[in-house]
Amino acid sequence: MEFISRFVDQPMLQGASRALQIWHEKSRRSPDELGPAWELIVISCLIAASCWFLSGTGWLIAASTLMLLSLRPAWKLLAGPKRGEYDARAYRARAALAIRKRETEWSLRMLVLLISVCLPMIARAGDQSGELFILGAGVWFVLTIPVNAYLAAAEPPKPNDGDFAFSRSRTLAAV
Amino acid sequence: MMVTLRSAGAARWQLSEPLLPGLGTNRLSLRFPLVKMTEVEMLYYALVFLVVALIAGVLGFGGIAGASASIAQILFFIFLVLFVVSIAMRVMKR
Repeated sequence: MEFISRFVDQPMLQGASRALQIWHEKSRRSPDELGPAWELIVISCLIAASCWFLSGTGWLIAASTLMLLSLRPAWKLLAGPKRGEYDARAYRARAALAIRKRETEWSLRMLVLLISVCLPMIARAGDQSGELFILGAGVWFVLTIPVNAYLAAAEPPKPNDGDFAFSRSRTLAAV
Repeated sequence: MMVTLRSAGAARWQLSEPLLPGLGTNRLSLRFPLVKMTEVEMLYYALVFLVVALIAGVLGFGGIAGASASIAQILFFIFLVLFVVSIAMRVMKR
């Protein structure tokens, strides 16, 4: 358990925290929007891949599935906080939530990670289009569900309040 | 009460009231952090794959229907596990 926590969970959490920080610095948007945005990117790539590998009604079913899967992240992005709404209050709330998740949901993150690895082996399909469907679903699951779980539990970045004059180099220079 | 915090840079945070973790956010998700959110997501995804399995089955795509049904089954299993864990945590906290 200690080994998994040290070499799997902690590096993943640190990576997720760094990703949140980069996202907030570059886009000036709330860290909550990174998960849905990433999910939509993955789904777009899978739609493009399905155009390449599938055809006819099989492609239509795969594309419809992906469109259905994109509804939730798209709604999250549309109904979520607007640009510049990530302030100290939101940061403190998110940080408190992330601490709780890190402390109590360790086993759940591991479970999701394990299932995402095993999904292509557990699911069964009869023909080639079914195998491709499972492959796509496996890629979607691996790239979205554990990523979302780790992004939710990672330490959020401090808010920058939309001050575009602020930068790390200028701060260091001032010190 | 007005609180002003200064970061290392020029950023200044002004708050109109004292900071309480979780105030103004989803209280349910604060009480049961990952479980609530993931539970709902898993159930939604399981339903999506179930619907796709039904449609593919009706259209005669046996392979996709089988694959979709097995994925829906796995996602529903994950939902059940998370739901049981959520209930167990709730009982343990009381």
